[in-house]
Amino acid sequence: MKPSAKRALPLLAALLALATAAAAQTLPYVGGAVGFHYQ
Amino acid sequence: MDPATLDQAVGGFWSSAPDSVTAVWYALVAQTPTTMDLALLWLRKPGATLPPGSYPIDALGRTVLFAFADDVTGFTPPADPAGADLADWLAGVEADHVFLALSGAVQVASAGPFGFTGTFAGTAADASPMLISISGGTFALDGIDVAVEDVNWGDVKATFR
Repeated sequence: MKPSAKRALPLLAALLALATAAAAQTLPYVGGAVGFHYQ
Repeated sequence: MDPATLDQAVGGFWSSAPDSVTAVWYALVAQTPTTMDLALLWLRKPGATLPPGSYPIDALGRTVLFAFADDVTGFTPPADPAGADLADWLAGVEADHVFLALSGAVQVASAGPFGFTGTFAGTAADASPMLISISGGTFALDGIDVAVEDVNWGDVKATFR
């Protein structure tokens, strides 16, 4: 049976979300120091 | 350390996508029981790395910017910080002033998943427009060193044998 586009879309969206999460890797900076002057 | 006594916070992230990298830091400093100052700096560039060097402020493209929000009274953290346009997000921050960089540069000494260091200086303006000069900016952020974590795990195992 040929799957309908309507039924395939949620699966495609889930696969895309997984692919995006895997493709974009984010690592935190957990501390440090920052400083500046302003006037 | 009692969390109730904390009056400063610094952090950020390194995010790599297939076609670009983003490095971000933030600093929050409590001013009064109900207000805080917020500073943000970010770089987003095509490619896989952010080599050391000078990155001019990109006020139009918003790929290299720093921001300073004075006396913030409220904000909602962005749901997807790595993908968000942080300049757009700053527009929703409740503060006396939200200054965005207009000119200047960020000098990157090192940038990667395990650290982000450098200096910055320039001018910034809020919507009124009120202009401020920012000088002597420095930053040194630490990532999580996976190699060190591995050593620590080994030490913990040895201790409990």
